[in-house]
Amino acid sequence: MKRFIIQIAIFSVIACALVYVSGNILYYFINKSGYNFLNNADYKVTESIIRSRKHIKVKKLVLGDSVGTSLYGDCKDSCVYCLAATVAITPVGHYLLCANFFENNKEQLPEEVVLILNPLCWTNTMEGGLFYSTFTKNFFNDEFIGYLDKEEVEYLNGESFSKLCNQRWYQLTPYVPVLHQTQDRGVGISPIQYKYLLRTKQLCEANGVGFRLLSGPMRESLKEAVAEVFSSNPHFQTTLLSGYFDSIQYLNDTDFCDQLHLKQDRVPKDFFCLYNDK
Amino acid sequence: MTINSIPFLFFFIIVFLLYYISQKSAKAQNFILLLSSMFFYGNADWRMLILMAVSIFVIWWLGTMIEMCMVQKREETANKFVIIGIIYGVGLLFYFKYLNFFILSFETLFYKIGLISNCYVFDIIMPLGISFFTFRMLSYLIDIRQKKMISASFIDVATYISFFPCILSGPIDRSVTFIPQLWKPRKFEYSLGVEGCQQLLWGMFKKMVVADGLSLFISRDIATSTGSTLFIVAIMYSIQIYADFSGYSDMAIGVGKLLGIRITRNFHYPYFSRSVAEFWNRWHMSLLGWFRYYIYFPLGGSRCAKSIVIRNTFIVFLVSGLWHGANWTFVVWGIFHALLFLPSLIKREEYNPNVNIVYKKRDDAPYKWKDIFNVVLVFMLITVGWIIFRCESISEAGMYMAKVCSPSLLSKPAGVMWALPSMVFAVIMFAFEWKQRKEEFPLINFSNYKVVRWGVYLLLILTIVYYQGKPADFIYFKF
Repeated sequence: MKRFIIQIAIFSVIACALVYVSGNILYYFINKSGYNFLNNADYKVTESIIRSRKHIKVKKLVLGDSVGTSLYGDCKDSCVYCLAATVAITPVGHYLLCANFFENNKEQLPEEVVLILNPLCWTNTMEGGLFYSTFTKNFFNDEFIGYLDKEEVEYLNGESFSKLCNQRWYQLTPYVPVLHQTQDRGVGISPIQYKYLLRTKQLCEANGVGFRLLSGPMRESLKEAVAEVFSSNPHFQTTLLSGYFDSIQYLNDTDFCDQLHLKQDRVPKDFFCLYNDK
Repeated sequence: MTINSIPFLFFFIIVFLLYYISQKSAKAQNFILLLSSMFFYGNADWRMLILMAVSIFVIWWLGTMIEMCMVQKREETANKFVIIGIIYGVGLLFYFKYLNFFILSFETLFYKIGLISNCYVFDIIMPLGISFFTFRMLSYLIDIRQKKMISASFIDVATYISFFPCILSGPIDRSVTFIPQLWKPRKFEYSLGVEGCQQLLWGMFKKMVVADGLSLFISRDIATSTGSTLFIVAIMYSIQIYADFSGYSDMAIGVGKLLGIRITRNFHYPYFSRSVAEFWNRWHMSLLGWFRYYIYFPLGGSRCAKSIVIRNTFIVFLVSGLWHGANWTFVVWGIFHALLFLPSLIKREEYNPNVNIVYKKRDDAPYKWKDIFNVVLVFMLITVGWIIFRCESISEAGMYMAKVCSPSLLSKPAGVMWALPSMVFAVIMFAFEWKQRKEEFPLINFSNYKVVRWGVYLLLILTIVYYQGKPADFIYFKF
């Protein structure tokens, strides 16, 4: 028994040291190359964070969910820069990416920020199933914490393992246990989403940058569901959001490979005509 | 608290220490196991603890009564107690798992023949692992009746039925192999402990890297996906269900070994099988063993007329299908596998009690090059079975297969490139298993050098840390 416990203890120490060292080395290479070869499920977030640190002059900054990624993720146009990641980071994450990009490009801010969000995810909160893996682990560190309100910082502090978020190896792990999670997300728009959506808009206005909130194309069959969302909350009738609902383009269901994403061969080169709008 | 989670690690460290502190007394160790099993089960669903406690009491009492009747030569009364036990166990399963299924099936039938029906469907919460612990309960009673087992103390029976590594997804040990281990104090054995850790690590790799990694890609909308995509997804599901379930079994067996308890092996590299019969000797071995001992053999097994053997085989597969869940897809899946068995049953010689036929056991025969074709063929047939198994309804399975057989099978598959790392790990898993196929699990005896062994363990840990997939429930939890 004694021999077993000693061996397990030695092995555990070596394993922990190896994870720590390898995490730092991998983190260095990933940041240097900008390519996350770990292929984590949240690798788009890591990729977007790395891109938000770049010093680059662009005209349009694209933020948003995976539909935004599918539309502009492979963008070759030098005037459009895509930081879109996933819906799971909610507008809080989109705001942080935007703020970080502005901070790193104070002298050369973009002309416009385009936020692409799916209309069926407005109820997402900080307790969503993937929020910890995609948001907390990536954003709850010294680089981003200053952009968050005290309220959110306090909430995130209460999450298990939040103290590890400054560790590089930990940031590279794809999934971590989520202990706080709620299934009941209510209807309409969650207060946290509205708050940070508004903050993104205010940040843009304060820096003289234009702001547009758009939805990716939706399936024809989801028209009713979207209409239901629109009528579910008074916030959607406000100027900030009503235009967003009017601009939704509905396409044939057969153009989609799942509920939200267009089939690869149906993705237009420039869905929102951002390239022509130089 | 799943077996591969951090809370379980803390829970297990406490149990492990308490367990071996009390290693002088088997009773104390069993009591600790029982308490921890109740805590583990209650943590998953505390509402079902009462049901579990009542069931254990009923089974223990019936076991005692059966033995008492047998001692007093009251064989018929003993049989009656066995029947009561079977009715109780099957009744539990029927109520919690199948009642609504039968109600809805009859409602559909009545509707089709023009009878008005508006049946009441019960709001029933199915206890976790009910199919697993019910089979353990029945095993105990039947083993006593068959004189393979003597009645055990309440704590021993309760520990056997509720043993925490196995309660949610098996393996389903027979009482005759499990309970006698509880009678002696378990002293820590270094080699068994190391083996347990190795098996636990291998199971975690299979579950967290391969199965969870693939789970992200296997949900597809049949209507909008191409045949080629669905074909690849079907293959991925075959790999996922194996990595998920055998991964869990490896973890459970590993935890058992750390506690000095040997649990029945559940998988023996099933995807290297050269025939469907061989596959069923290697897949979910504890369940098939259960069916063999308690259904197939009492029905006559293979030592009877060919037609009876065919009937017995169909019964076993039908029950096996239904055991998995209350859906017609599982019934069809069972029949599908029975049909795959049919050619070998038809080909076999008629049983003659006067001639002792010695069947060659092919499972251990060395592989030849020509076996590659058989292995691939068996894998593809099993994959077809998994399509039926996985779909929500028979019509959905039909649609799935029609799509796979459509010209779109030749088109470029969409969205499967993301699964490439998980597929690479699946290939590594199979390659390692192939190399070590003669061992119980691949991490045993793979190198004489400690540096190499530790290097591989560390590599597996790094892979789990950096490449684990989104944590998904174990597929067999729902059964």
